Amino acid sequence: MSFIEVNEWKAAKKQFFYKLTAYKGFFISLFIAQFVALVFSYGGGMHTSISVDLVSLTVSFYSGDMLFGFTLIWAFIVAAKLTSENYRNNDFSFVSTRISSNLSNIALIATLSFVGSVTSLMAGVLLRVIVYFTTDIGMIYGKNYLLSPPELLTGIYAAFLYLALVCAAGYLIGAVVQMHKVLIVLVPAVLFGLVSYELTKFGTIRWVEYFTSEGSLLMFTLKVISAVLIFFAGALVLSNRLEVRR
Amino acid sequence: MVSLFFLPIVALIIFAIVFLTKKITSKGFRYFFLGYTAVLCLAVAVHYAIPEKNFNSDLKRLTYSESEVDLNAMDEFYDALYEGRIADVEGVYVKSQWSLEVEENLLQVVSRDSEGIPSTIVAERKETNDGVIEVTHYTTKRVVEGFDFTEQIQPYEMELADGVLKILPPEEYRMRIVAFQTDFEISQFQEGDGRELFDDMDFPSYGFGEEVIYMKIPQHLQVETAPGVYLDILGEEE
Repeated sequence: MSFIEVNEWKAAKKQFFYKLTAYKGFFISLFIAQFVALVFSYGGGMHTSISVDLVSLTVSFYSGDMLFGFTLIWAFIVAAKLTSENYRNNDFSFVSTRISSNLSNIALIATLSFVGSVTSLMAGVLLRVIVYFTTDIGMIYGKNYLLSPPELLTGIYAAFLYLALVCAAGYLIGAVVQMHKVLIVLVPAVLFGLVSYELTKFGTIRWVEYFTSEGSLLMFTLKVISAVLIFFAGALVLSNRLEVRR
Repeated sequence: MVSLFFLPIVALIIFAIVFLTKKITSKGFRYFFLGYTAVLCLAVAVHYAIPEKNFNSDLKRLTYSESEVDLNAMDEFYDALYEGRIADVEGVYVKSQWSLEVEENLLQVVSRDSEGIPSTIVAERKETNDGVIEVTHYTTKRVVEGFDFTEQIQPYEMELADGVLKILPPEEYRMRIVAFQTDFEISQFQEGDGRELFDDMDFPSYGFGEEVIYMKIPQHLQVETAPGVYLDILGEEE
């Protein structure tokens, strides 16, 4: 390992710890977003009613999906923000290169994804506990209520990968948007158009289904890691082309 | 498409949250971080302390194999009914029985209203004129979305006075169930589907159950019904 490489790593490490402290607001925004999702999930559970002869059955469904959805959106926003000019300029309070700046960002994204995955699954458990204590126990259908520790760990692992994927996508899109101001409008519009097209034409978003329909955890891991590497490499190339402030 | 509509709104809310929490103080951060993680850890501890037996074991869905007899009874129900052998069908139960004495020669069958009247009322003429109407309420299992409500549904009430037989339906049995869907990021890697509560497609997913008010009436008793009440007398064309 050369002297320069060692310095890159050192600089990245230093920047990472600086960012953990400086961007602590990201964690708080995650908790608030999850709290909002928790309120929505509790209050807006899905209800179905069936009336057959002399029986009227109402089923109220709860799940942690909204919590995870909010966490995904948060991850995307936060990752994209890291590429914005303000945040990039913070890097130059240190001895820094584009590489060390990106490495520290990737480490930060991994940390945010980890915290996001653990807290979103745990908040799902909190939702279950709240429902348990606020509902007549006789009405709770036990199936799917208790999450076993292996289920919880699988969920945290899968959620971490999803969040890393979304963060990497956000980071890449953020880097693309930084190239020209007009892209701030153009990129979201194109993305929205693509999603609408996929939904109208195929009834699903195929590039989302590529990940969501994968039933093997190993294959899912490989797919996500490949995509994350591609996204980060793309972001790295783009950020190198941006003007360097010295 | 609906979620796609809400996506920008949710994104905007979260964007605002990210923006507003940018300048949080270290002290505020510490309180938030410790407070939130403490609540989450406590929730996990409480979750695993909840014994499984606490859940209502009556809230058990029937499986297809458990319901095979009942589904067969459903298939056979009307053939057996009009052939006069309903009592012999396996899976058909007697919910209630009444023995009512009638002095008049004309019986009027009425109800409180047309709601909740059994859709099938069948009468069979006896060999004798003993002045007794024997009423039996036969039912198969009453299942809605796999849950067995046979016991919970209250029996009908019968009132006979001055040649008028009132069939009074019970109150509708109302039930609310709270159910959980396994989180998407877990169920994706599981066998089966924890996402759907009612997922066994070979099972009648909506509900099933048949019932009949079966009357054995004196041979010469004439029967009239109020509007909305339908009664078939075995062996007699309408």
